[in-house]
Amino acid sequence: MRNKLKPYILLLPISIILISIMGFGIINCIMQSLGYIPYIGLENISFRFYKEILGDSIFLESLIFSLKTSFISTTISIFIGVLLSYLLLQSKLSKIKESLLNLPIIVPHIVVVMLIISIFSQSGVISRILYNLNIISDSSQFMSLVSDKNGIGVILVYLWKGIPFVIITTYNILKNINEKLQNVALNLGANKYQCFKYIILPLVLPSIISSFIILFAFSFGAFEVPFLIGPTYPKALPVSAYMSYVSSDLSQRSYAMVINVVLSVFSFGILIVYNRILEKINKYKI
Amino acid sequence: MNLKNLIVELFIISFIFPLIILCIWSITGVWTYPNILHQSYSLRGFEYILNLENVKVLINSIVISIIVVFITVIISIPASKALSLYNFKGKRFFELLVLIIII
Repeated sequence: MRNKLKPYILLLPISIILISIMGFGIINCIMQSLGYIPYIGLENISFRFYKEILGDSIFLESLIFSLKTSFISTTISIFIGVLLSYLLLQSKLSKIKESLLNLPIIVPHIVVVMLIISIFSQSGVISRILYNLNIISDSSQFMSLVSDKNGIGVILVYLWKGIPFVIITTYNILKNINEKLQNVALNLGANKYQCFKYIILPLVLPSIISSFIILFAFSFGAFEVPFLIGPTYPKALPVSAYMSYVSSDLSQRSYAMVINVVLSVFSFGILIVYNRILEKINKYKI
Repeated sequence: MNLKNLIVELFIISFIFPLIILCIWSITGVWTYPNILHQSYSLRGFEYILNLENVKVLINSIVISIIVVFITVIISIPASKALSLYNFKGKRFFELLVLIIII
């Protein structure tokens, strides 16, 4: 009896905290998104805010912008990160260089934004170098990579943070893979590509997928990066939620909450997909 | 083999390069547009951050982070022990509950 209860007791503190904070937050958020904000006199519950927002073209553009930037940045960082960690494994680097790769992870996002601005903006380092090479004659000729409509600045920030993250997670797993497996495959006549596809890839796939999910969800929901470096139009979703939340018109709050609900629904969907994929992978594991 | 080393090292340089720029900016006085190198040195940034008021802010951040780390570790170690060592009803529910927060 005591043994049966033990895990629940161990889980009790974290569950209380998570459920109480999250549950309160989510219920509050949903209520406000339905238009129930008693302290400013709005008490009739309706779906009109959802209708208004979901039919709004600005909202749709923000949604597409957020999805696009986070998807592109995550895909590229996964691709480069996995490739690089594979190369890293084969080229024996000194410990110092390896630890240099860990540096970007501890740099906060806001600092990264500043770095990207100081390098890629119209008066940034690259523009200066081009000027001194006589390729451009004025800072305005350098194309605008920061605060542009396509969100290249946002993507660059997430790449700079994301690639090292992927490298570290994949590299540690690759390092621990038993070398005998590869040797056996090579001995039995597999070429290097087959070796990669049938041995290494299945072993690192769970970590690739989980880092994809973490990066995607983070860049989808994060607020400060698109706020600082993103374009003024279309805004990223979290930014427009924040804008309507701090607006002096309190009835705008419902719009913010609707956007938050949409964001949470997306994240929840990602979570479910993640869970499914992990289950599938675990099934094939020996 | 050499090519692989080169690619990896190029990447490392491209990751470290922005940080070097940051360090240069921190000791720069004037750095106007077309110049690749800065014109004058100054430590006004450090003077600003090291006066009494801002040191207090700095210490405040550090104290908050330390407290947060302690509480998090105390709460989550039992949870991770439960999730990894025991098999019980509703295990998946708790796993999902923890995952939701990350996302």
